[in-house]
Amino acid sequence: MKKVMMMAVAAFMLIALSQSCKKKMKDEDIAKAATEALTKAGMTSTTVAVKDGVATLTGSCKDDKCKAECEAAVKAVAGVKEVKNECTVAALASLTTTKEDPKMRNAVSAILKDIPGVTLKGFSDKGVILEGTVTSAVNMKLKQALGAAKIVLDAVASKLTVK
Amino acid sequence: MALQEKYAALLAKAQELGVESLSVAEQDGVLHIGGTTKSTADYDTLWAAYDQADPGMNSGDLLMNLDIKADAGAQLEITTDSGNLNIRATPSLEGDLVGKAAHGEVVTLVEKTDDMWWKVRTKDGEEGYAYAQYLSPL
Repeated sequence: MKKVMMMAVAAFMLIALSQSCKKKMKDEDIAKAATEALTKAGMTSTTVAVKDGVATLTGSCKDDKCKAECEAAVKAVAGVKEVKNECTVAALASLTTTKEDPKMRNAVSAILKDIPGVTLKGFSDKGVILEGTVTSAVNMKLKQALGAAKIVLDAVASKLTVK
Repeated sequence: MALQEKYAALLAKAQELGVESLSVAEQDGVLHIGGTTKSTADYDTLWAAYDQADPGMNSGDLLMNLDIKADAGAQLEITTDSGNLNIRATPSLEGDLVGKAAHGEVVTLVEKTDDMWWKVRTKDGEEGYAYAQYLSPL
């Protein structure tokens, strides 16, 4: 009798274990597919985590439209029951400055002094956020100066147009 | 690895031109390329290769910090767009003005203070710090 009980318990544990494994695998597969969908849509600064079929999006988007597109791309993935969109939009991201220090701000000011038409919008954990329209010659000068000062451009939040 | 593939032509060009102390490293999704080019022409060639691999250079995935070989005593041409280049008492925009050098004028390198500011001497003997971006070694 005792033996039967033990076997029943063991069988039950085995089933429970295999089920939890199956479920975990499934979330992983969904996350993988969702990440692929985001990459395909060109949203590389957004990351997705899946738990019990609920996908949580984090990272930064350049605007609300981009944020909505990220959500739609993940919603379309098979197995996703719900999407929690916790992405920040660039304007918000620039407020959470992490990399900024006075030396860097001074360096950017010195660079932009000679670059007409470009304004400093702030700093993010990726780098400097710039906006404006430049000629290709001025753009070259700007990028060389940023390189010399070892400053990376936050490509997602910046809006730089080269004429 | 993907970034090194994207900028493969640029990296090959840097090897070909014999960039000194060439360093290539990828960190947090940004490729860092550093080194010293033999001439201003090589420097311009490599920057053009960057612009070709990433038109507009707006992807924020490459940090290229190239120096042009110039030792103390080297002749530097002032390459502002048209105006004078300010020469300051300290290596900062807040530094007091000690002189000016005209567009096209040649000054002598005293010391490469940092990546952005170099100490120079004009033909009139004025000595101070100028913004390195507008100094091209001859």
